Amino acid sequence: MRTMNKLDVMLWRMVTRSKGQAAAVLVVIALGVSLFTALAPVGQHLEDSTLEYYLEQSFADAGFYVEHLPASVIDDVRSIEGVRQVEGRISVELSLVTEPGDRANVRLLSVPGGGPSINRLLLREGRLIRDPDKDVLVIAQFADARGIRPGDEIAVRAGGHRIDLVVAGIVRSPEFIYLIEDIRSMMPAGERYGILYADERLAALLPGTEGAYNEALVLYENGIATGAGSEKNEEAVIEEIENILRPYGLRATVPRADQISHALVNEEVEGVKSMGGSVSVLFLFVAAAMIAMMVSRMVKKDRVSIGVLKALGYSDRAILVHYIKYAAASGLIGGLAGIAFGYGLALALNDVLMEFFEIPGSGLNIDLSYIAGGLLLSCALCTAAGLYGARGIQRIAPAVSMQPEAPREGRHILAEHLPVVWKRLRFSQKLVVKNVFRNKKRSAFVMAGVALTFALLLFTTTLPGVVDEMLIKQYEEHRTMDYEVRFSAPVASYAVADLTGELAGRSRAEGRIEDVFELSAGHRRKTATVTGLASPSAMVHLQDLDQRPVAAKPGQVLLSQNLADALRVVPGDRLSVRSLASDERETTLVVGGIVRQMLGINAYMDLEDMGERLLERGAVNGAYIGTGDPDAVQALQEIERVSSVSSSGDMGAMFGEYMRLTRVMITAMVILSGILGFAIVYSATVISIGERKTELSSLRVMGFYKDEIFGMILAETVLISAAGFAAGVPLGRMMTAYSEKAFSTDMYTLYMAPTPSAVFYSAVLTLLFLAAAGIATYGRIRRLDFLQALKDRIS
Amino acid sequence: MTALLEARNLKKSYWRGEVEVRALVHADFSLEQGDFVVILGPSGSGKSTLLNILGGMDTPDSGEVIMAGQMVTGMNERELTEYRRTSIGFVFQYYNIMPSLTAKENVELAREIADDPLDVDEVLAAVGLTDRADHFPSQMSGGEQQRVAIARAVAKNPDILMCDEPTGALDYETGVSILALLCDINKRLDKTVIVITHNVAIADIGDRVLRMRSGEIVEDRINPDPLSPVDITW
Repeated sequence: MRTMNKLDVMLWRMVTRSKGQAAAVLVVIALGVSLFTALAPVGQHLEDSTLEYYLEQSFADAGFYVEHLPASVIDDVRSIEGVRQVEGRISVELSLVTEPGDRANVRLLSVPGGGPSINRLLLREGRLIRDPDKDVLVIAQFADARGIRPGDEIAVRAGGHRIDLVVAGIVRSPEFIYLIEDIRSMMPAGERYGILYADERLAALLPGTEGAYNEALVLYENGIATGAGSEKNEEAVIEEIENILRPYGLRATVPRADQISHALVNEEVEGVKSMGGSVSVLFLFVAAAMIAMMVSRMVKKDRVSIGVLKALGYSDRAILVHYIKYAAASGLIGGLAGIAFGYGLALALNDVLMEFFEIPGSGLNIDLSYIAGGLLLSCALCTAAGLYGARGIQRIAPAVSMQPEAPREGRHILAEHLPVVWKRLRFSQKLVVKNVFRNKKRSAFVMAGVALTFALLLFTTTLPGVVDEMLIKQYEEHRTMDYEVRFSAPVASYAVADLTGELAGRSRAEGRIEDVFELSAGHRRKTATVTGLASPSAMVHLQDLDQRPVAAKPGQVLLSQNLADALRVVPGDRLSVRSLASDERETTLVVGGIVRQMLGINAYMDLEDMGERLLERGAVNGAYIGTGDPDAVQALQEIERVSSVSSSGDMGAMFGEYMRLTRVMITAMVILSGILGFAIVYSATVISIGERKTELSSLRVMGFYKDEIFGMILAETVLISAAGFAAGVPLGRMMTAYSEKAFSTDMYTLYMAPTPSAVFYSAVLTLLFLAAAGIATYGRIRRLDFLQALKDRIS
Repeated sequence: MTALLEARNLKKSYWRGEVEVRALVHADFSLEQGDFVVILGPSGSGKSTLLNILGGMDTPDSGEVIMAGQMVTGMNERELTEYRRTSIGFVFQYYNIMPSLTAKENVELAREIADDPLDVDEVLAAVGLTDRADHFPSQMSGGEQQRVAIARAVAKNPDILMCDEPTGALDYETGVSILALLCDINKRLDKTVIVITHNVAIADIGDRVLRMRSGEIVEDRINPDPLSPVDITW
């Protein structure tokens, strides 16, 4: 058997002597590589599977919502250059007939006799539609949540009429990978909202449809959406289509990028991918910095050995390789462990995501390039760090190395030139301050580590507040109605009060107007939902950016931040609001303020003012209901002019699930941040103790107690950490500000300012991790063999 | 006269791998206040082990150390630290001063933990470093660094100054000046000084000489006529 060469023996012994640090480095590398190996391929797989799914099922490039769309107009749209395929369909909001106390809304979409050619359905179970008068297909998420099976009979209520249907099959659609009722729901609630597909003949007979299409789905010619290979871009095609559809009451245009399901899945994909990139690289850089410090310390410690090796005839290169081997081995071992762990994580995460999104597709095959890439990145960074740390080898001359080392250069620090401060310090405090500034690079590394840990924790502890505001406060404080009803046609506002007559107990109703309009300021245009609210509204409580109550006055419009940003307007600016359906309904308003709102892109007006300017004087097209009646849904659905009822009361389960996901994410983030903070502070402190062994030993000989020495080192860590905390607050704020910017879209605006309690909790957590590192290093001081250290000058 | 420090039948051995090293076979003596003692012996004779045990840095396998009537042997770690803190001042061959502190600050460091410390400026003046007080170790010669180490040891106002090869890393002239300084401290401040050395010439300056060989004190003699350091040569 070949024996280990003597340099390798030395290397091995060196590593076993610093097990704790070596382990800390390996854990950080393994975490970095595992995140790299797991998240990027999972994100990529999710993206690829989704795109493949889109392609196979001909997912629409754009959807147009129109009031009444005659079939002949479909052909006009088809003739536009750049349009490959168009399909009209009927879409109608209905409610499912359920047991008392239960409720569910469904959207029924018509499909042509041979099945849709755009947004094609994937039959999971059962059969396709045979009986056009009775058969429906049910979207899988809804069927699974409610236990609906092929062959089941279900009934829907439309305009007060009950319609009995037969479930022919269970389907999936590329259009509803992420199925939510509207953006305000945020989380899918399978049992509360679903999609039914029925033959065009059945759909045309439903009340409110008047037998005409109200949606047009479009597929572009290749290259339009990407802008490649065609002179015409998407915007031009959309404009042409809108011009054709406008006379038929165009209500909204939704290009694929704005389609809710697609946008949310996309967001998830980007989130997973970017976390895989940024967090893993962060971990690997921290590991590299730790290795550089460790190797640099080893070289200093082995000064005599290096001199002896050189004297024996070993080349600088051979000795350098000896130290780099340690760094490279750490990269390799940590990398392999990371790959193994990452592989398991990837499979688990992929299963969760694919199941959550109901995306058909092959299992996850992690591309070798991710594994090789992760390993290569880890080995390369660690080796480079080793090289950096060991660069001092060349400066060690054999003869000089065997002499005792000259004392390190001492310097006065800045604080000494500030007599007001310096004179007030006790001597031991001065010593601590001097030691902090003695190795500025290491102090900066620890400070950066603490700042990073604190910032990551601040970011993490800010998240629950965001989720709370986005999902809970919205319903508990900002939108306090129990139900929202939509009317099939505008009604006089005074008639709204009649709704409560159908409900048991004390109930109240408040009319509202809601419709989609095009808002424009200069050449900027944006389509958004504009809501007219009673003044004052008892159900919708808008807040400005400083979270003070705000309401629109006549002549004014309030905008959500994302809408104001899109139009580049500020309070006081004028903008015009135009109905997509008719050029006649257009008005100019002054921006009265910006509304703090996380979900959706919206504008708000005074109810009466909006009725007068954009609908009919004194009319409303929906109402908010506040009631304690448990059977309110049933009662409201019975009313003929009510087209749909949505509830904001029973979302507990939905929030529960979201909160559970948030908790899992927060726990993972806290653990990751903690490991990072612990590893940085622990390794830096251990190196610092090792480097000052002789000094600390002479303090012990002089009569300093172990606790006093530990106290000094602790005080140094506390001082550096305090600076880290100070830097962590703005760093955390930068992270949240970046997230606000990066994740704010047309669909939501993120407000992520850390609250004092988030600062408090992140400080407490950071302190806990620092304390753990402190306890781990205390053992080093306890075990310090000062006699040995003083005997062995090269310690 | 009552003994300041007594060593009674001290023994110490330790294991180096599988080999038992009998570092101290037998040591029995007592020292009085104001003695200038030179412990002389070649490498491995056990003199450093003896000094470490006397100074509370190490413990004997058997035997007793009694300091001003107080039993040092059997003290726990905290008590030994307290003993070193109040009674002993160490000076090492390689100075062991803090590189990040100036000369004056190194001396102040010792004052921090002493109950009855001497005035820092006076101590620095005594070791001839008044002009170098604000210099860092890296700006000083070896002799000056050793003066700082001596000043630091003296500033605590200990009962005994224990010096382990204090001139071992210095050239002849500087070594003589350091020995002169130790003699001066012994006389002026009435401090008991123990100097460990392998240098035979240095034995002539001690008023008591303990010669060691193979872990034993083979000679314990009083020097009625010690020489001044400037009169010795090696």
